[in-house]
Amino acid sequence: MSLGRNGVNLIITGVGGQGNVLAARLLASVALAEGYTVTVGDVYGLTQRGGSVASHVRWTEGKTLPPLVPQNSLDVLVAFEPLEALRILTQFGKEDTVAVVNDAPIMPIGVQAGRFTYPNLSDLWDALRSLTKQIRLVGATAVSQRLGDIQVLNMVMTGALLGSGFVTLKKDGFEKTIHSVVSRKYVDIDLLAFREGIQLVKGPS
Amino acid sequence: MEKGLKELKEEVLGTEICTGCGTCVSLCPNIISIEDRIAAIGDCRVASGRCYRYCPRTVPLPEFEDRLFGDVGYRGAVGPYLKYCMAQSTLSDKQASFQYGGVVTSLLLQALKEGLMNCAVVTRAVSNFPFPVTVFHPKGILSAGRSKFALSPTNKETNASVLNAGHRIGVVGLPCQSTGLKKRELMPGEDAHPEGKVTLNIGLFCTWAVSQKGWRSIVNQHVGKATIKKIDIPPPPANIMEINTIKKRIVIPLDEVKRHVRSACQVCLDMTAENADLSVGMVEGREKYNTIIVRTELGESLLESAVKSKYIKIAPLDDERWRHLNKASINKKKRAITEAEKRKGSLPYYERIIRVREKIEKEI
Amino acid sequence: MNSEKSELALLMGNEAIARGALEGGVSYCTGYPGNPSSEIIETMFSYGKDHDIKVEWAVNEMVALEAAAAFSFSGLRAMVTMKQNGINVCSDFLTTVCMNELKGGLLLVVCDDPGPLTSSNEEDSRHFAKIAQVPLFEPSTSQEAKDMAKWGLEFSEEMGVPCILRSVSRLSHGRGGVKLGPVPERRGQPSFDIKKPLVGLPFLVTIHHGTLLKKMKRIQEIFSQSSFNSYHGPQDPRFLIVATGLGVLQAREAVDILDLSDKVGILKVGTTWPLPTDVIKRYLKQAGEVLFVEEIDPFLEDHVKVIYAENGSELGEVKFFGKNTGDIGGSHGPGVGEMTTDIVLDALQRIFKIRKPEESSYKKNVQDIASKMLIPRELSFCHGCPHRASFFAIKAALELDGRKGFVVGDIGCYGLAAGATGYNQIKMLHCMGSGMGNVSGFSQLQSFGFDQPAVAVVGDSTFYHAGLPALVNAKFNQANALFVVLDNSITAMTGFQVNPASPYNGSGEPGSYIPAEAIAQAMGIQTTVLDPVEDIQKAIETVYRNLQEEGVKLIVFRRVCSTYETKESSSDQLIKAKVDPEKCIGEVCGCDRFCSKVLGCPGILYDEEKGKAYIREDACNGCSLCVQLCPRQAISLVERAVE
Repeated sequence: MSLGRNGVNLIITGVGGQGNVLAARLLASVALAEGYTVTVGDVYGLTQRGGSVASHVRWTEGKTLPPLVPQNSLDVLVAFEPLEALRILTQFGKEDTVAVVNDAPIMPIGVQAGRFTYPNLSDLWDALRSLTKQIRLVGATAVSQRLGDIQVLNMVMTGALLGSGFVTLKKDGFEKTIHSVVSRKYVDIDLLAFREGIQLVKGPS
Repeated sequence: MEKGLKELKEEVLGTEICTGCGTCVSLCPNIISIEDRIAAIGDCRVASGRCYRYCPRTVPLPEFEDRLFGDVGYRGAVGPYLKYCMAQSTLSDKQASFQYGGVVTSLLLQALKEGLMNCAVVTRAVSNFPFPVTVFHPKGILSAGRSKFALSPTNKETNASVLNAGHRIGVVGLPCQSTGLKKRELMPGEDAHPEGKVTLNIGLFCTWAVSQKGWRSIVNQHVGKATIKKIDIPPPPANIMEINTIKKRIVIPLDEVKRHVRSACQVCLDMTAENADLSVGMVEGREKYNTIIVRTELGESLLESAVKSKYIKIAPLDDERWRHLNKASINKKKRAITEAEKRKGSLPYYERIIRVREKIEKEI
Repeated sequence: MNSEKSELALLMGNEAIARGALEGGVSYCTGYPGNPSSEIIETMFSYGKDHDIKVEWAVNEMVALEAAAAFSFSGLRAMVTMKQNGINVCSDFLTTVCMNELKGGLLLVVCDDPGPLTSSNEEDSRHFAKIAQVPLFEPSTSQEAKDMAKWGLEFSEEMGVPCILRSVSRLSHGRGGVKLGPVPERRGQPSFDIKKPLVGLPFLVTIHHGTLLKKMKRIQEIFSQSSFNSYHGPQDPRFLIVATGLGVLQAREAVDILDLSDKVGILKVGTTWPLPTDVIKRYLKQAGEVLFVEEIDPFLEDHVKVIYAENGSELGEVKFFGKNTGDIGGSHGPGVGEMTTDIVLDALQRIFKIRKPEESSYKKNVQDIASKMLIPRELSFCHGCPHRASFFAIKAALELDGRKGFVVGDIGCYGLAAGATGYNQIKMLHCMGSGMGNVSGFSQLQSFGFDQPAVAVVGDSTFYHAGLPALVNAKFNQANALFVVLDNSITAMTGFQVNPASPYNGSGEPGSYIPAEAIAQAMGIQTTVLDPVEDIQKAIETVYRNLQEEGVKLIVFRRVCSTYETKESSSDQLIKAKVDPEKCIGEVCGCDRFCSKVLGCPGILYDEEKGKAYIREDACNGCSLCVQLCPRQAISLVERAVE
């Protein structure tokens, strides 16, 4: 996917605590190292309490962009949770948005308490398909559970993003950045998760 | 007719007619209680709830309307009965502490002995602050003697005790509590799990009860830290409450005590616990005796056994006293109805009891 | 980022500010945690390990600024950080200290929260620059944030006046590429000249105030030459956008999207106060139309109009578009909510009469889908959070009390108790510690016939920040007030910073622990301390009994924040709650799925098909609250099997 006149507008979304901030940082670092002008838009605090979160990652060849993606201008969506994918598309999606979406729902507290009902999953997949030009639904949570640590979900998804071909950043940059950004304790499992994520998408869809 | 916590809150719980009987407490975690305060903390969506069904102040299922009395329905001045008499426990004052005749204690001892029940929910008190307990031995029964003037939500302990499937429970309560138990017996509802059973329902005569908060202020003001030995309200025209501590006799104007009478008591039609198996009260002028009204076959059979076991001595109650009792009971009903008319509230309970006036007048 | 080479690093705005302070030779950094500013001090703590810098968390911004001034008056450089509410708290000292001449630089960094995203008010701190008459600058990128922080310290020292660096949430928390610079050697020996007292006596203030105003006039001239102000666009723009902060980037993007770059020029103002008059006059002269793009209030807009009013004849006719004219604003109107590229686009489209694209079928489709499927994702207390038990106990006690009592609170994780997760208990919520002051007042209403008990809740950090005077006031004025300190040993919402209720202070030093009850007891206030989770019935009863009593009463609900504890512990939590499906009765009368529906812990779910509750192992820390409340004792604590 070539950089448009206004660069790449990408949003990573999920539920607080799923690690979107680290994934955004990883992605942005790689883009920065490849020479692009990068901006990340984030909000901290108030997010670990089970709410919706989104990191906007924007890179361009030219001048610095403001942190937030304008409405209806989203090029690439990375969603750790399917309901949050819908939430972001509602505000930022457009006809040719492409998306990589994790298929494991996380129940909002309102659903657990019986105040709301989570949408029927197959209806949700249909909806997401109708709202994107291309979508890859991936079982990233299952992979993380298999690897024994749900916290590596963000790495699996970052790998899946790369595997999808929706961004033209280079794999080596990611691995190098994981080494420099992630604490030593987790580097190995994060790399493993990242590579599994790539394979997840490259396999039969 | 499906009603649950939502309707209970609209009609009784949290309003001024909630008697604090505790019949809705300990059925589920949505209703909680401390001392004589009861409140709902959750919004339960169960359409047909036991809390509504058992509450003495809600409308019963139509098929049971004619089997419930007191606040629920009218059948004569003192409700239905098989017989009535005067009675006295054969236990001496040294074995137990009695208010009057000690009859309740003896009935419970007999019930325990013959296996009608294997435990009892009774009210104990510390400094005359009452709280309900489940007891399993005669000693426990003996420790619960003497009248209490502040309200104890006895049925919250009944409900807790019933959760044990092996329990066969005898309960001693006020008229509202007896009514709650009778409703539970007649309309148990679909209980999710096997539960114990209430096998004996003894009601105490009651004109009013004070709130525990009110009682605390009376005790703080007049008694302080002294240990209370006995409390009594002598018959009119004395108009006092007498509190005997170890050292002295304290006299309090009854009007001062009555200021703390619970609002729900002022609209109560039931002086003699019309829904119990046996109702027990005082005998005017005969301090060491009780009046017993026997209402059910179960109650009758228990009394007979108690007499046979020589726990209780009975004697006929004279007509004069019986008439007096009837009159006092009717007067309580009339006072309640007058108060309900004065309150003009939108509570369905008021409308129901106001209609009882017609029935009373027809009879008289 | 720990590399000191001159290379491009991806830094958060706050990290960049910290880096700038480091490169600017700062010796002392302090502040109070406040979103979006907290990461500045956190980054400084990591710098403090390898450099000679003292870093600490203060209990409030006032004492922070006062302490920082000590460094500046002694010849060293200091930085104080805060969110917009913090500048309100330290404003008394700010408006006094400016009257005296600093020896070392003093940089006050205020991070406003337009929106707001995480605040209980929406406020533009730039007005304080005017009130205090001190310089203020606004960066537009992370790089500029670093540059301004460094320069700000130097400039403040050069001019002897405190300087304000004003950031906003999206800049503070956003990331961009930053070129790192060298870190200077250690500063000189600090000393306080006792021959030159710095005293705010009235007659001296008059003199110093005059000096300050003259100084500001000089600074205005300096700012007119500053490279932080710049112009990009056509040589002779008829239409000019004057923008500050992120507004510069948003304006640029909007102009690019609408292809107006040959018609519209953008004047970037970085040194917002004092306004660089000469620069502004120069561009006003050329332009016939001006649009202002800035965050929150029309601060720049108003003051540019003053310049225009004073120089009208020289500047020719200019038409202004801005918040005052209603030409630029979001869905809640001008001056409300954060500025975005979309708002600038909308303004330009209307002004230039560019037809907006019709509502696409995509938009219709997505809105249709959203109306059917998009359910909210509410915030909730974490699993095991002690606030859940605290508010459950307070709710139960107030219901039992029956006098329509209510809770007055303030900001922090427990602020969420205004919502479903805290049983909608908090009925009034304003600024830090306000609940306690409010309750002092509510209790004085009793003599006017008011009988609803009001309970104040306050966090541990907030108690030291603003609660102490309220506590003394209640005792001094004989209030009947119940205060509940929710002590979870940490300042959680802003990211787990330490405070006097924590076992260590920011530098990891023990011995700084000050329990709230020690203070209250010293004042002769009736105090109870208990763990709200361990015995929930006892907690309910404690609150209920306290509500019945007169006088000032303090309850400390003490239990460590469960998320903080999990983060800090080296081993996995093995004890978890588990539901026995045989005993669980689900939705029937007797429970109605109380644990998932009413208690609302995110670890408890309900299987509608099976009609049973179950607990997510990864979302349970074994606090036992649900165990205690289950009516059938169907939940018990079990040791999780280790694979």
